[in-house]
Amino acid sequence: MADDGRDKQREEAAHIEAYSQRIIHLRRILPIIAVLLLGLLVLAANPDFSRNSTHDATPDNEDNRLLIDQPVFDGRLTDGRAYRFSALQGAQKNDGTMVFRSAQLNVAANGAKPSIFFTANEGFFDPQQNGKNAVARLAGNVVAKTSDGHELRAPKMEMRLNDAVWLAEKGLTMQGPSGTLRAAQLEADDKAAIYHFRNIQMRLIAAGGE
Amino acid sequence: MRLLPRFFVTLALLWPLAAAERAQAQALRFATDSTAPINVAAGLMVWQRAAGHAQLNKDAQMRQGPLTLSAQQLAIKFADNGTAENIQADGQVVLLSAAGDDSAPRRATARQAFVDLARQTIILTGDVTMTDGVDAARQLSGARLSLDVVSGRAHLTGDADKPRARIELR
Repeated sequence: MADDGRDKQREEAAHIEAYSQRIIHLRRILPIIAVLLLGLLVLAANPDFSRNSTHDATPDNEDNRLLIDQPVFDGRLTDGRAYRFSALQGAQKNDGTMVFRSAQLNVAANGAKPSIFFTANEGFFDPQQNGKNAVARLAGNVVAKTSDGHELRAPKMEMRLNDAVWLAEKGLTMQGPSGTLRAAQLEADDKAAIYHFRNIQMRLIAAGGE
Repeated sequence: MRLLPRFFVTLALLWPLAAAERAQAQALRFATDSTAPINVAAGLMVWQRAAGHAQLNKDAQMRQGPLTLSAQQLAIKFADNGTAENIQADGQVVLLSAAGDDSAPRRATARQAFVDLARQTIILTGDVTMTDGVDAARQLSGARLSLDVVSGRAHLTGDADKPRARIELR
């Protein structure tokens, strides 16, 4: 009888010891699992966390949902001018935006406003709907030629298409009938035909001269 | 016969004035180079394409060879073909010219200036003062200074209140 009692006590002690060991293991493992879960949560909330920004994206990137050859997007500025955004090749990304290779943007002339023809190595187009501005960004050897004889060159340009606002924030040069201009920045309200150049240097062509 | 000595006395008295006049005429020459390119610079340029007009602010200045014109604001008017027709300068106008072969360095100030790029003339108006690098104490003042950029000759005139240009020796 006494042996039976001791065996039962030993069995209980072993059981308690095993339980304690499991608790110790869990105390070590649970924080690691919690950290891993938190990491997964962060990645799930931001799918582009480890990817390049859309500016540098190319049609060949893995997160592109749909590849399109020679895509064309037509629209109209709020002043009525028609525009066409086209490219050699484009791809729609998971967020609905599009990236292009050899991009072109053509804004038609309207009354006294000349037509503008933009070309660039790469393009990005966000056709934001619901009243928001459609945005086009051009990068890499951006050239804009107007039908009234101006030629603008910049490394990057952004166009808010609905408002006809052009931005070149990384410097530009412009040649035209009035001369050659270098500027650090351009903000152009093409609808009102008003252009703000910052830190300019310009060589003028005088009337009746050169 | 009594008139002859009077004539020589008068001539003797007027001679220094005439010499001063000649000196002044010689002094009113700016170093210019009408063949040099015309450059403008500013912190901000607002170009209104439809109006054919550009306004330059923040350290606005125009430079052509040895001539530099600076002002609070420069306004460039473009012709229909897009070339620059004229430049209107307003506020704290300063016209500087470096020393040339036959002219001293000069500094003229005024309230406004008008640069006619086709005629190659610069006209300063409004409390015009002019000093030269040789004799900074001597200041010429008047209402209007016109400069022919081709020849470098300047002409300083007064207005109704001050009909003559003044030489101030300090």
